[in-house]
Amino acid sequence: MRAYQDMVYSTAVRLTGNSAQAEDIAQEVFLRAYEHFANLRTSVSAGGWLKTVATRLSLTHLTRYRRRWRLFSELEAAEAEDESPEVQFPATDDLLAELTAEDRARVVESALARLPERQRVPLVLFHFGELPYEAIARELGVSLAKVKTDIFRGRTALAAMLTSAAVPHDLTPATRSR
Amino acid sequence: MSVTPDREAKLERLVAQALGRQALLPAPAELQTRVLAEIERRAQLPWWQRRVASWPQGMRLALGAGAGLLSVGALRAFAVQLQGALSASTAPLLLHVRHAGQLLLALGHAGASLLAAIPSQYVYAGIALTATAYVVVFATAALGYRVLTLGTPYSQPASSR
Repeated sequence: MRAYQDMVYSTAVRLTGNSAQAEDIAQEVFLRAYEHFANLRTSVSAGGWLKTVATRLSLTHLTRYRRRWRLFSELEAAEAEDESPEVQFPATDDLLAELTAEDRARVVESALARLPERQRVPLVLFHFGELPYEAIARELGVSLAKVKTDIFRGRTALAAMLTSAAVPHDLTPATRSR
Repeated sequence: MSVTPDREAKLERLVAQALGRQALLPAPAELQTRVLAEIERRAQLPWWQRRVASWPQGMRLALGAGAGLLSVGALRAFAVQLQGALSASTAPLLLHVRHAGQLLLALGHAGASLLAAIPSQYVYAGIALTATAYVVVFATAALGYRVLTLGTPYSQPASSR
């Protein structure tokens, strides 16, 4: 369990954006793993199994608590099309070149958690889950076009947040002292 | 959204680079304790309070046999009851059912004749009208839902939960 607990927890917390829910999900993942221990102990794909279960449980959790009709959400998302902020790309190929590794990690996780769920979930599945667009659309039960749009908007919003966080004066004194 | 492919590709590259460098987040220290405690708690439960899949094999067999016997008994009892219900005392009821069936059949024939007499363009117009009415009702419901219920995107930002 020690070998995989960070991976399972990271998967859940990045998808749900909530540490308490992620901890519950991680617990459930390991309880299921315990029930399948006989198969998993010798399996070379135990890590993949755990990641898949963590992803599925996180998505189920999000679906269960969404309580809104997906169609109307898509209508609303379409209306919000112009909300994507304009990003000024940095001269270098690094959005956070100015920051230390520790600040960089904190800023990225914080920005990720601030994204709306409809953008964060497909973005996390794409970049951390390494799923292709088609698989994400299947997992989320939405159209391919919506997945692409949401991921693009998520990237734009994330880049904007990271760009603004990379400016030294945006860091709080507490952050700088770390 | 007017974005050049170059700009989109650069955005993807920058974000992939920023996210790709992220290390795993450390799981809370108490996670392992919680999992072990829950395993312990479940192990303490008497077998009948656990999932059926983890019951002793004999008990699972007994449950399957019991459920099978119960089903067979219920089906037989139902068959006996049905046989009794279809006895001579219910013959008048069956007669009414037969008459009702004949009536429905006659109505069906009449309806089919009527439909055949209606010009096809009227039928298509009726279908189009029904579809339009359906769309209008659906759109009204959607509009009402959005106006009355949705104040925010379909999810709150995670930081506000």
